[in-house]
Amino acid sequence: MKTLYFESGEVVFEAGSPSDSAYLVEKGKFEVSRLCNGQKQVIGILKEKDIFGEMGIIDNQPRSATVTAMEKSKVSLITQECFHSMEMTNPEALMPLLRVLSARIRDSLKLLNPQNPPT
Amino acid sequence: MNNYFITFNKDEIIFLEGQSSNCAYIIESGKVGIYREDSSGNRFLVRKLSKKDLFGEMSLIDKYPRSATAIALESTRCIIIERSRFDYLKKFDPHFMVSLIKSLTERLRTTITNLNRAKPSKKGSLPIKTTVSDYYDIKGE
Repeated sequence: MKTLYFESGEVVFEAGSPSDSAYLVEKGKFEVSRLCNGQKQVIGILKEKDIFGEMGIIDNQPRSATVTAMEKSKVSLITQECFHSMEMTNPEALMPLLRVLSARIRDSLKLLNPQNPPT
Repeated sequence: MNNYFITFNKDEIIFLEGQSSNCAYIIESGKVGIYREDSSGNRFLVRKLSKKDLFGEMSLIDKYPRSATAIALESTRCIIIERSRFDYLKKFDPHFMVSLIKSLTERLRTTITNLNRAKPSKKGSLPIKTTVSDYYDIKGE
């Protein structure tokens, strides 16, 4: 896996840009933000061992928020090729991805209520 | 490996939210409703599943209790995927893992879309659209 370094204030990706890789935070901190009525709104902080951008390598939808390094940081880049070689050589290595997805589905299910019924 | 089948009658409960669990199901024939309970304990439908749909796999992945209740909407026959089989598949079957990841991603996007249709609860509070969807799209655990 390729390693990337970011300085404080450096942008990893911007909302709306195409997605082709996911990232694993090795060291440092990142801020997740988006613009809401022209104002920056921080919606999350990522730290060591967090994975982000992973849905993009699966379904190629554009990024919906901006990620910026908050300090000197280091990440491992998980490219689509890397993802595919992982699935062929060691499918079990994909378990952390499944756990992240599963945790997010559980969290969002908790927020569902009868006022937002399914399609 | 052999497939193990189980048949549920119409309205039969397959599993209940909160139960511990050790298997997933693939529908061979029939229909299954996935339900959650609101704060007053009333069940509401989250999703309807039919032939070839997989459900109950999240508990195999993270070993937490069932996140929702599954009820057969008609006479339904399912293949059971037990933990031992899942452990085998995750080691040796890349296609299984990839289809699992795709199915979870799709489900997450669907759930987020449903959440996005909710109206903001209070005036001045952030619409769910700008918090939940982005949060779940990129936030790590």
